[in-house]
Amino acid sequence: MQLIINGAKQNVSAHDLSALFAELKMNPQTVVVEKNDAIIPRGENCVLQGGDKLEIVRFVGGG
Amino acid sequence: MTNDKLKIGDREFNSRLLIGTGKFGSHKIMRAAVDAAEAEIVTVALRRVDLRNPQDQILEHLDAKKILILPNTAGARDHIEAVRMARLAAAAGLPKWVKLEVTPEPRFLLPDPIETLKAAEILVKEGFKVLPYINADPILAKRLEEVGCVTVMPLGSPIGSNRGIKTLDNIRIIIDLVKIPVVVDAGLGKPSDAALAMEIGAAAVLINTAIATAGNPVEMARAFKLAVTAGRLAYLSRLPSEKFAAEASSPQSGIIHS
Repeated sequence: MQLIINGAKQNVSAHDLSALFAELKMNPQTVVVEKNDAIIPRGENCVLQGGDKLEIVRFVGGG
Repeated sequence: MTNDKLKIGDREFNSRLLIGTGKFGSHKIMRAAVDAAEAEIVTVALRRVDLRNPQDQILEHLDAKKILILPNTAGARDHIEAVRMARLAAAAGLPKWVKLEVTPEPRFLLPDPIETLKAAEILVKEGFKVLPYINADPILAKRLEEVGCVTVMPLGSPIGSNRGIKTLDNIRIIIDLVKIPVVVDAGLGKPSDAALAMEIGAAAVLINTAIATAGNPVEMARAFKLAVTAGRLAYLSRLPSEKFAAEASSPQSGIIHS
């Protein structure tokens, strides 16, 4: 199904967040996720549906 | 000096040099510079994950037991974006502290005072310790203190410009007017700029570009550490007054005249 991840359309096979982390080879401990503008608390899984808008963010160097 | 702690909110720090982690050549150099600076507060930014390189992770290179990792809201253009970033950073498991930056104008990255105040009010109510980046406006600093910010962070000159402290008189007024620690941030390009800020009574300084883009960032971090220590010691020792004319240091009696 198609999700909008960080502003770009992306086809994925995962149907929940933890499967998506595995599919994208992402360590869930290093990122924070917003689904449709609501923050998903760390460690919580959630169901994903086609068209969901995800923001996946992490820390980078900054001043 | 041994008991001269920097108190911000409910925490105490030995170091008065805050380090920003942007622009370093590598995480390893950044870590070495933070160590050389003996910094206890370092800032980080929040950005979208690069899906092609999802493993990159700066927090692995920072010891959160020894260092307060202070997320910023850099890139926020209004209070809504800034509040969103602060909440996301807290959701990542960091302490609820935030360096609040709202910079809608991209060329000079000057902070928007109105949006900053709005965001500060919201975040303080949500329990955040808020450290706002501001222009050196004493009345704005007072307003931010009144809404519960734990510091104010007036700029010396535009972010990353290395132009030093162009706002000296207003920073002096802020230091006189507010009770919360004043952390001079942005534009400090040389250790002497940091020493000057500390000599006039700033509680701390934040340095990023001047260290990260130096020829030798690790040694420059050490130079800034020494400058901050020297400036603080000078401030605590009470600088003598300036005079227009000479005042001889050697005795004026018993001079051997021909």
